[in-house]
Amino acid sequence: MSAALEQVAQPDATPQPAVARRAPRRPARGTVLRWVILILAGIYFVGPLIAAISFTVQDHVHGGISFSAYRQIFATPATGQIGFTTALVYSLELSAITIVITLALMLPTQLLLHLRVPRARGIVETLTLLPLVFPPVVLVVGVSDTFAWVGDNKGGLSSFVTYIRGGGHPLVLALLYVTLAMPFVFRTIDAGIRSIDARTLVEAARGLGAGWLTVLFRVLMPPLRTAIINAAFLCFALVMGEYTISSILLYTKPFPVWLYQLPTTSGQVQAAVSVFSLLLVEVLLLMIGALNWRRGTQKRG
Amino acid sequence: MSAVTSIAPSGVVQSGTTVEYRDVYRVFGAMSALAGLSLRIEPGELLALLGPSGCGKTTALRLLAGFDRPTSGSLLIDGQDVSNVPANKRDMGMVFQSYSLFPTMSARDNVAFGLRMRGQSGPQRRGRAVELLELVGLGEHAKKFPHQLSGGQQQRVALARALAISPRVLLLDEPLSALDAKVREQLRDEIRRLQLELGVTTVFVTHDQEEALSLADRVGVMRDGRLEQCAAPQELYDRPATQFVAEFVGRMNRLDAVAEPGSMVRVGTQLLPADGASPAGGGPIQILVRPEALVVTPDSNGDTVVMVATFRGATTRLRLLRADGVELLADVASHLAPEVAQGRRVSVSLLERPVLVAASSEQEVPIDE
Repeated sequence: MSAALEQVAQPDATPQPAVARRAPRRPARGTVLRWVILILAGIYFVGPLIAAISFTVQDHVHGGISFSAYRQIFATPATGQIGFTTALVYSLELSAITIVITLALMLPTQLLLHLRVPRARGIVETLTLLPLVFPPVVLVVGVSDTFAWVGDNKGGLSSFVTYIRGGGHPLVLALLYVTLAMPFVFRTIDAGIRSIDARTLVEAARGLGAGWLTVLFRVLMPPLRTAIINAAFLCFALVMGEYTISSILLYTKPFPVWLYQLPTTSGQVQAAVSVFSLLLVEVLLLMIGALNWRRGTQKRG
Repeated sequence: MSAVTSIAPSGVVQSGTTVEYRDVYRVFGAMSALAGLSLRIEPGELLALLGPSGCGKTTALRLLAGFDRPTSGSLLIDGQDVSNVPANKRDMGMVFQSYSLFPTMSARDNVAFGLRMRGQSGPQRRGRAVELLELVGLGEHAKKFPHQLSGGQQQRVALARALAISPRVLLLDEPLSALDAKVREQLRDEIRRLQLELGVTTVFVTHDQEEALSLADRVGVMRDGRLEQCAAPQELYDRPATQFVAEFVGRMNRLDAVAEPGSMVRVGTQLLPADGASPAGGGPIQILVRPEALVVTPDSNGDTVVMVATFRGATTRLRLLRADGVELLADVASHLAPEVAQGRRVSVSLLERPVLVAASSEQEVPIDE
């Protein structure tokens, strides 16, 4: 320290170069490690996808690139089978219904747990974990047995079960998906509510004269938007990828079941179907995410 | 105190409101958060509820706001029982400790929220909101969102929001606790200015005695759900009604003394008049003395040693140890502090003024800094 000060105090001492030479900057050890992990994770996740895409666009007969495998997905369906658009729209409808029912159940439940009955939170949290404990196959077998038992009774409940099982609308599937989505949606909304100090916001709004509906829609829902959209993401991804339940209950319209039942023996087409379904869900999720981001920035601007 | 009438910023005449707690109990399981609180707050008065954590002061405020219901007893506003009136029908303006601004609304929309709930038209409520924001010095920040404002600014917006609805009573729940010292002092003055200007009856909950004493017309000291004493700040400080108030508001030294005839008290060689109830002559008693009522003089033959000297700005607090092992606290002017620095021997006497006599049943409370 003192040597440095002496050097500053003696301008005529050994001339210094105009620009001090900097030691070459070494990347920090942590930075290198981060990049290594990122690259490995990228290879792990993106590698198989790139390999699959590469396989689906290879023209094995003439060489070069061909999209014929993808064209076959959209080819006119054979008689008695449904086409791509029908299956996709069916699954989108199913997603929308699942999202609406899940949020309509979970949001008020969570708010009640946070604001009115915090003691019941542990019990409800445990209940929401049950769908993770029982595999979907167990769930669907139980549901099938219950439906069969209700059907035998021939009462009003039987008519209801017949109605929700009707092939024209996917209500029964939506109800099952609501159950499957419960553990994830519960925690997503829970985290959202914890981050906003809901109790104080409710009290502030009530004190200013707001009724309960105003509190819910004007005060609580806007700051919970991200949590709600994330919950919707989870429901959507779950519905677009769920095969077991709809297949066992003999529903052929959902998109994953339709993909599986495509009448082809070509490995290239089957790979193209997998890639396409993956990318489609990704694109739809990104679209919803972009909408959320845009709204967020507009509000801040 | 007579009814207060004043002119609000937009020319709306506001009258102060009377608030009364009548034997209010609030019981949670086996615990009584409020145990028979009775208190009357006069129109236009600023009353501070002061006490340690868990004393029931916030419960008292929440009951008044309508966020909770009393187990028994009644709450009256201008003579009307509002115990069962829901929060959104009470016309109370509340400012919370944690700002509580609606995060997706701008400062202006936050302030206008209560007016919107009252059905005011868009231009009318926006105009009024900007007017209120200007009143708290944030006119230029009307379009900013809460996350773009500092803590002090957010609390100003919360204050403007509470005042926008011309509340019958303004409720402040430790609104300054989360702010740094300088902002806290500024906002404290601002709250008082606005409260006097608007003449709104105000209840201010705090655990900070300095805040309570400097801001309020009267201070209610609470303990275990009960009101120990409710009095003007000066009276509370000079004549604490109970041992708890004496210890909680400011600091006290407890000294051995002897009761003398004629309401006099002998402390060492000093004979001083007793304040308040006079003890029976001849018996040993204890008296309570504020640190500023001790006179400390340098004395190489004194029986007291300065253990610690803590600089506190205008005054320096001394922790003293007497030869008999009794610890004392004394405040001296800081310019005199070098004469009684740490390790020096001193002699201690009392200012010639009436002293408080401690109740005999009370246990000794150790003095610690």
